[in-house]
Amino acid sequence: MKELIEYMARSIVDYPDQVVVTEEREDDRIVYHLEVAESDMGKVIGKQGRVANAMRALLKVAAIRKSDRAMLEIG
Amino acid sequence: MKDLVTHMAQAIVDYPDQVVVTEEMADDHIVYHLKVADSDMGKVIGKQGRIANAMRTLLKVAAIRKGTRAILEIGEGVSPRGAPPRLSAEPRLLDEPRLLDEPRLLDEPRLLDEPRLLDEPRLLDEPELEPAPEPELELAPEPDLDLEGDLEPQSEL
Repeated sequence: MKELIEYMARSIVDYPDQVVVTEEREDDRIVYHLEVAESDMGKVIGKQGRVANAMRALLKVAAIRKSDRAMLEIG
Repeated sequence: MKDLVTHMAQAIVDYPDQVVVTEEMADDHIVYHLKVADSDMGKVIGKQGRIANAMRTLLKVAAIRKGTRAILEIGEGVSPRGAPPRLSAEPRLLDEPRLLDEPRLLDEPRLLDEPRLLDEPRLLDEPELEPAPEPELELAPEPDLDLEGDLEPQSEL
């Protein structure tokens, strides 16, 4: 799932090499932290959080498939 | 971008090895056809097309970054008649009809016509502050005078 987030983020930013995803176990779920170049923040969030929510929607399904729960935090 | 679609689909299906993405150049945009196992169709579309739209959103941003436009079609594995799908020949919708954005007003709501008064402007009550007292002053004495005037001649007759 980490690779999925990295892939999605790298596809839409201007500086793919600055995309960093870290994961953290928290009780019954995994929290992913996505960091990108400051100038790319707008791109990964999107208008009214549309892009961020799109990534979350996909992450959620990917997590369900693994009988897990995942959260995506940006920034 | 093809890889992006492939990655996204493979992450959410049960049969990643059956994910096939093909791309087709159209005039000013690229159409991506995503095919998955029949049992995975629900997963890539999602409730009310939520997952399909999530993939489209990301694909759209990725396309914009490359100065192009992309359409994601989630596709039929086998056509109803059993014939191989003829993608380029049959006229059909490139995409499920859907709203690209939340519906919104193109313009600020405005009146179709200039607002105008149904009637000429007028005061709800005629101004009668000054004329009002005058009739009272004249009317009050008048009946007295008239009565007296009427009665007196009558009594004489």
